[in-house]
Amino acid sequence: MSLRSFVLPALALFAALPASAQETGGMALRGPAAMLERLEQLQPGCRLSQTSVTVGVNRASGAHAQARQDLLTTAPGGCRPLVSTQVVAGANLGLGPGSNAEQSIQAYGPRGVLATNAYTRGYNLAAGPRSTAQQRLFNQIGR
Amino acid sequence: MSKIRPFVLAFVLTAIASASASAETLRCRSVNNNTTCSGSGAVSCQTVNGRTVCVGGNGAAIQSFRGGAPTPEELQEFDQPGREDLDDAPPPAKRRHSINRWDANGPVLSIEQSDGRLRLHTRRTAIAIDR
Repeated sequence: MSLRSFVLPALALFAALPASAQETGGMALRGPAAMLERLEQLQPGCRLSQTSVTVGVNRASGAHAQARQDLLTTAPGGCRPLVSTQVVAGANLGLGPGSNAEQSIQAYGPRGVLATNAYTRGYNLAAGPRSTAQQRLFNQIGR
Repeated sequence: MSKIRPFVLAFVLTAIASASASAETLRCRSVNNNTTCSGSGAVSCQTVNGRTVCVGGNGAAIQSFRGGAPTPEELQEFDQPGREDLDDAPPPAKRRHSINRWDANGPVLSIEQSDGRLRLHTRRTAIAIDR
């Protein structure tokens, strides 16, 4: 196995791990009582915020090459954070003539008590003659 | 002016003649939200949260499909209990990440992280690390 074929998935794994970021901002307290009621829904021991980023890069560059990659990220069940952010991004490239690149990225995360942010972005390209590129992105937020 | 006109005419005719006449074809089938496409040239399909867009070759042919909602099995698996359904202590966290890769000869790499265990499988190596 070449070093490059190991490094790319390893980078994708690290990208799939939860990212922590400095958070700023605020909320307009239109109904303080309702807001407090929602805040009380936060379970003891649960995180205030939860961020999940799942990124996959898959490419089939040789002639008649086949490259397939599946990525899955699931968040802890039962705990609803105050704010939940979930990002799914994928790049899938069929570059070689007659090549086939296939990538599937699935992420499951909880709905935030106060806010939920879900971002799904994908770049899918079959550039080689008679090449195919198929990409499935699934960014699912719990009910 | 009369000298320029034949040159312009020749240029336009050359440009038209050199432009390749292409008839892009894209045939797609969608059965039970499973969409497959084939075409005369390159074909790329992308599904984002149930909506599939397929593009043939240089983008001359595009087809899109709207899939159904996630299956009941998927939703059931991912139902989140309400507060009244939970005990005082939250259930143990189950975070899982996995990466699986294949090439023409089969599985190449599998990395899975779940509940403090990291497992790595390649064609030559199998490693499991417990925290």
